[in-house]
Amino acid sequence: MHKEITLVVNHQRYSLTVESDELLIDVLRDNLGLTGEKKGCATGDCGACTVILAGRPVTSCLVLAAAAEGKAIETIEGLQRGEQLHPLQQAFLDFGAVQCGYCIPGVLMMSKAILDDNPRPTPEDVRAGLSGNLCRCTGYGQIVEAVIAASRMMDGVKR
Amino acid sequence: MIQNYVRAHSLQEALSLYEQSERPVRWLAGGTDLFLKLPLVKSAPVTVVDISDVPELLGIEPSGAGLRIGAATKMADVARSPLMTAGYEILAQGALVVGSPQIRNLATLGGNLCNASPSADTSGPLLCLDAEARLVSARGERTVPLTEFFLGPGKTVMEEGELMTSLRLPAPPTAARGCYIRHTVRAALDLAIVGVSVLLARLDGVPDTRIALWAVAPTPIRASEAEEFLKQTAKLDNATIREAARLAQEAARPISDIRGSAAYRKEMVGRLTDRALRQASAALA
Repeated sequence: MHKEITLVVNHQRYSLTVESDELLIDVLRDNLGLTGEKKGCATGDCGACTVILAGRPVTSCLVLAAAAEGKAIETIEGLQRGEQLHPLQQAFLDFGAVQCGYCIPGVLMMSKAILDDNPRPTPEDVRAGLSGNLCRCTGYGQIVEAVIAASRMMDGVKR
Repeated sequence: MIQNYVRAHSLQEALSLYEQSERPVRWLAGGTDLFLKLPLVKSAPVTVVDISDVPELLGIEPSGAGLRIGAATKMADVARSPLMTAGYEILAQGALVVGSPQIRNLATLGGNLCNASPSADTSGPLLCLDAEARLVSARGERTVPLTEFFLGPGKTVMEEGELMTSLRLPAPPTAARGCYIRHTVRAALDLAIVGVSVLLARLDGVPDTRIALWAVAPTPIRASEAEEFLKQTAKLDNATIREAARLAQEAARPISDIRGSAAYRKEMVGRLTDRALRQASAALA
């Protein structure tokens, strides 16, 4: 069944017609062209589709697009401000935390959520926070260092 | 496939939407189990009624001497609730191991129970805490003790049209201490090979002990013979703990599957019950 819905993504309103069974990850990628987050597994097991929904990081492959109506959605495309990278993005570059890049949008959004909740995490806090994001390339070492470095740069200021 | 999605804004509306919608109808809370069981492409068309924002199903608050937890309360909120103190800690620990941080922001306590996996991570603590489930339908309401709720893998006593609205937890015994052990390979995104939770208290010197097991029987269970044995004994020492663990092991009827053999699981029930009783009694001392 078609549904007319409005989604608010990265502070922008989009009016869409979706099917009742369309997933948020698919609507973001296919309808809105926001292809940053990836559909790695479609079962909530890899975290590559992580977005922030109503302030909470979730696997968007387990959310119906219709169910996301009325809730603010943040994706990787909204992380930087114009040309200015978010401190997390800059830190990931500085620390060599990106290899193939497939998991990274999900990792970055989850990292932002970790820092939103806890501006001064320990490495253990970061690892626990990223326990739902699978990375096959990096071994997580530089990722954790980058998140800690970004947290110090942000110095408790939510970005 | 999902042929229609509707969202309820109140319990009354949820029940009306259910009655009005073409069957089959499924309740949608977090969707973290539903979307795995319901192939989104090829299956009989269902209507989903989204209950994740229904106020009557949300929140954790004191109720009498105990707690009331809305069935649609997210696992993340159960895990970090400041009300999960003393004996209730084992429930917070159970909620904290479900899935991953992302899953815990979608998955609900009620959903974990209604899905009725024999390995449900919150089932053991809720059994130890003598939780009761409130079930509501257009035809009325009833309360079911969790010990009577599960019938088999994926099967509960819930009837067509019933919605779990809340869990009621009585006050744990005074100064109770618990221990929650989920034996898994991975730290996250995994299910229990064996799950054991215990809750200990001392009433006039006599131990009041609850022991629950999951992933080792067709449903989560209380190890009643082990509990009875401990009730008869005057103290919790090495010998009685060992015997209680042996009785818990006897109560387990695990299967062999990808996570472990039946023999391994049975052995681990004994060892982990022993460990859980020791840790909880050390905390009690």
